Amino acid sequence: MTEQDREMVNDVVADALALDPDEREAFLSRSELTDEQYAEARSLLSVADGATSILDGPAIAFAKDFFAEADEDRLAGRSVGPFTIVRELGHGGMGAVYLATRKVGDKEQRVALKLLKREMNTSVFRHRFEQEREILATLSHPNISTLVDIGTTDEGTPYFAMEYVDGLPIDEFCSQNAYGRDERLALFQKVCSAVSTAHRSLIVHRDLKPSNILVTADGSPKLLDFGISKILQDGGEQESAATVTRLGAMTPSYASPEQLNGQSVTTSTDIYSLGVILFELLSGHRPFEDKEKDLNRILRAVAEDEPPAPSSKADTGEIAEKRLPFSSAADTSNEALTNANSLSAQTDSDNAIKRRPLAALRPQEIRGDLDRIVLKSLQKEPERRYLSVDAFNDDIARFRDGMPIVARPSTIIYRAGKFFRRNRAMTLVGALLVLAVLAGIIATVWQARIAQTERALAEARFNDVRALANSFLFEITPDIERLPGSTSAKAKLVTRALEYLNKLTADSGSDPELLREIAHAYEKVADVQGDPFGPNIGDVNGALESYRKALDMRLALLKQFPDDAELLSGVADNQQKIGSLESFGGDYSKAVPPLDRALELRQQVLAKDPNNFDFRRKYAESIKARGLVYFYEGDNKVAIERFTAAQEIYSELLKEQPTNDDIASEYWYLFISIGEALGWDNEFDAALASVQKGIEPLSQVVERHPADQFMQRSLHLAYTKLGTSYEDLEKFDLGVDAYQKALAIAKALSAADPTNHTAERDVAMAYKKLGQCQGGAGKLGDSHESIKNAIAVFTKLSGRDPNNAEAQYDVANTTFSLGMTYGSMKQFDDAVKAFESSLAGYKEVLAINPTYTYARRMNSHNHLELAKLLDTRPADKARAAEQYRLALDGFNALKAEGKFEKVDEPAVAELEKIVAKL
Amino acid sequence: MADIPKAEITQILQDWNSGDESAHERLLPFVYDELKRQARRLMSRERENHTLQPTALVHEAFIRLAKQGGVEWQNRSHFYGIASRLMRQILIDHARQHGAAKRGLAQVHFSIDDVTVPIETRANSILVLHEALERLEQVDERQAKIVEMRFFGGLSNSEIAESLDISERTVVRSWSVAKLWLHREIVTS
Repeated sequence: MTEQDREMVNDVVADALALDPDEREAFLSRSELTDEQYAEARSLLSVADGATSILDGPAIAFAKDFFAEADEDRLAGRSVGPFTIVRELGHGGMGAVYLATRKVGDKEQRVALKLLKREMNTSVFRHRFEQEREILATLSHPNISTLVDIGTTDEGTPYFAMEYVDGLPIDEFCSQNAYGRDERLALFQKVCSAVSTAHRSLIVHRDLKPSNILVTADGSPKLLDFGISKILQDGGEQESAATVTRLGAMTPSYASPEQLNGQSVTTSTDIYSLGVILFELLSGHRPFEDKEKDLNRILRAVAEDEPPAPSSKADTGEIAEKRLPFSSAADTSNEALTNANSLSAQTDSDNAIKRRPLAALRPQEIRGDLDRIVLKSLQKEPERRYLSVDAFNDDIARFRDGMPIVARPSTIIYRAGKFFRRNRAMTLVGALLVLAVLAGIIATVWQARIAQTERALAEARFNDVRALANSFLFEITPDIERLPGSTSAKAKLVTRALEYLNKLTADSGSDPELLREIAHAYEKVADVQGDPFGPNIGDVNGALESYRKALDMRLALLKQFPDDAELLSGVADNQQKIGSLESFGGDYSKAVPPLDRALELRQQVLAKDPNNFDFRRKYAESIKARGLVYFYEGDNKVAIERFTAAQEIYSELLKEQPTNDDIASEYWYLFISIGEALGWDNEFDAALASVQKGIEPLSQVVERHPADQFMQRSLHLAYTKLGTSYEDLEKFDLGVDAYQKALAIAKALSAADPTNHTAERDVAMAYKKLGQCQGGAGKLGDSHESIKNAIAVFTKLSGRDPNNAEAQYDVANTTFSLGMTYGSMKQFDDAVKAFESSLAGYKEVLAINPTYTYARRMNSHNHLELAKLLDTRPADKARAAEQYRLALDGFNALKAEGKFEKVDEPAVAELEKIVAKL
Repeated sequence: MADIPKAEITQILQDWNSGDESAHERLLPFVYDELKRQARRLMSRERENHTLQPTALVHEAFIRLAKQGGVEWQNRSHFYGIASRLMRQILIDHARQHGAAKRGLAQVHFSIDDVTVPIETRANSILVLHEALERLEQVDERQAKIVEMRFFGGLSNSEIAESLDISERTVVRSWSVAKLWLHREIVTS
């Protein structure tokens, strides 16, 4: 029959059906159908007897019972590959899981067989299934259920067989075994370690929930169902869409906000789910349980509501009732047995939201640190959770060990920060008061901890203290930093903070936020210990150590956040300060690499944000710091070039912020630095001109900041350089005036803060230079007096820091100056004694740092001066000759290494003549 | 029960709207989940509340998915066809699980409200009907499609008409004849 034939038949039959049954036959006869068509129409109409038919209603109504019993053992006895299905264990979005067996030798092996449902056998699901197969094959961990076999059924349906786990979901297991807090935590830690292994293989579970974590009778947890996990690929753009989780297989109660929002899923997603599980294990509830009945409400709650503290959920009457059945193990042992062999074993149920009868701990067992740990894992923003499952696990371990935990409420630091911000004008007295209170609390807390009493309370307070101390370091220190007289307060703070930071570092795990804070804190402490350009307490080695700690932490963090400008900038800050400190110690080989690195990083950061004021300013700072080392090394021309380059940047910055006195002082001071370098290059007139150009504007800027130690000191240094410039031009009286101004500022700074090491050194240096200049002016008495004052202070300082080559140099060099003064005063024996003493000093300096060029040079001068003195007495000619030779050898060695100073040329020319005659 | 990832649904629906024919393939898992959710919901109802709106199931699946996708989705009729086919597949698979062992004479002539009919019998009946429908597909594809949409998809005549781009009258007439064809096919096979 053709299609047309059929259409004819259909038309006639349809028309006939509209008639009464007994009229149809006649109707058919009247139609113009062929015999074949007629027969067909008649045949069809013969079954239209009006009886009810299943086709009268929708199929779903007819078949609804199919679903009611769908979970029952419908496939029992069926063979799948080498396995025989025993019964269904559960089913989920991906497929059903069956208990199945196969013969392995004489033994019967039991497996959990996951079979892709036939109706889902589409390419999409096939693809997902293939993915799951591959992932599972790469995982091996005692707490992750192992893959036994993979294959396809005769019909081509893929399946995989996993190790069968005869166990209970973790919450039920804890209930059945009446687990207490520590046992629950220990069990949970094992789960964390399994998840961590998966994470290391870049596998995120995505659907962690109690029904996916079965615990066997011996207490080993087993993670099931990596059904929706996916290999996370580094930065694969095309992957990002795929790694957005399919909520289709997710249980909202345990899903993270980012999963519910359809954002990309990372290992942090599992941390959230683990947090919900821990919440439940502790409190018997899930954080938003009361909203779970309504999908929209739970979705909104997960996305927006602050989760409650688990301890607050543990405190309900409902739970108290639920505790009862599990208080008697004998009563429930049968029930436990039944459960172990029923559906709850190896379930992949969609009904995981059902309330499980887990007994809560007492609220006081959870309150405090456990609340904090759980809440940290439940942060809405993934980056605010624990950085890794290991960090989560470590914090639980710390809690169990009675150690302070890393998780701490962000609100406290926030509140404390706000408080201190509001009280910016807080005086030093106020700051010290806070410090004293902090110290008291810390002591109390530690005592309480040692006593192991009120531990939760003690730990809570400890965390508060930590937050407060952080605020103290970050909020108060900048305020008091530049106040004169605050150095010893800062030293106290440093001691306390260091103790405290060392503890913190040991406990910090790998929480990047905390590590950042600690690095910043170390930097602050280092600044106080020995900021190369700021007020400090003179602990150079301590400062280097602290800067290096900050640097190491930031470098470690940088591996995780390689493009983080703040971190890069922080690393540059540390490198620069380390380099500058090393350069002050005279060891330029140690100073140059960090300074060059700092410069590189500054450029890198600046390239990302070329107009950033602060980055430009720090870049200029780094150029200047590097220029200083060129200067110290005697490369004056390059130094001047660098200083000029830095000055140009400051000049631009000053145009943008004309009232920024920090920038203004840097800008004007660079004229002083350039002048100094010119002086060393024997350009004495140009040197004086440059210093004079800078000093007046600089003093105007500094006058506006009488309490600013940093600015006051820069003016002190400027007057010192001015004095030197006059001295170089043999204008000794003008030089003495300038040095006296320099000395007065240094004395004022030192008097305001007797513990300020830098100010003290400045006083000594000013005395020394004043004394030298006074000597030049012929005021020998004044000169002697000044130099003796200088030596006294330098000696005191070097005693404080005996391994500091620079400090030892100061003593030696000043003693040399004293010898010169005695020489001028014709006090022959005193002069020889002084020169011998200073030579011994240089020897010590060079023992500490053999490459200290400046010390070597001055050592040669010392030999020369001693030789000239001895040469005046016939009895000492031989000694003199020896000293001449030592002097020339020293200069020649410097020459050979290219470290010769132009200013020494006349002296060396003279020496060569003398030695040649010997 | 699992929910549907909004972003993905939205993307699929947009793709589909803009003419990407492969989109419906990607949508299948979600339609499947949705249909199954509806079916499970039915199961939990009281027996007295059987009187179903014929369109409830696929309709609700569509409305839910469209809502989840948050897009003005024009492809309603296309969706109905696909959903009906899926629903057929779901039911047949469930029926197979219940009645796989016994085949043979099927009864089609009993009321859907007759709870005395054993589940195996009903499962067999629906399997037999399915097979008959497969044969009808060979003979008259459009008729078979109409049966699939009306019986398995639970769609109304007007929805089927819109979906297949034919008149509602044609749907009614085709349906009445197709029923006869299937009855005869089942009785005589």
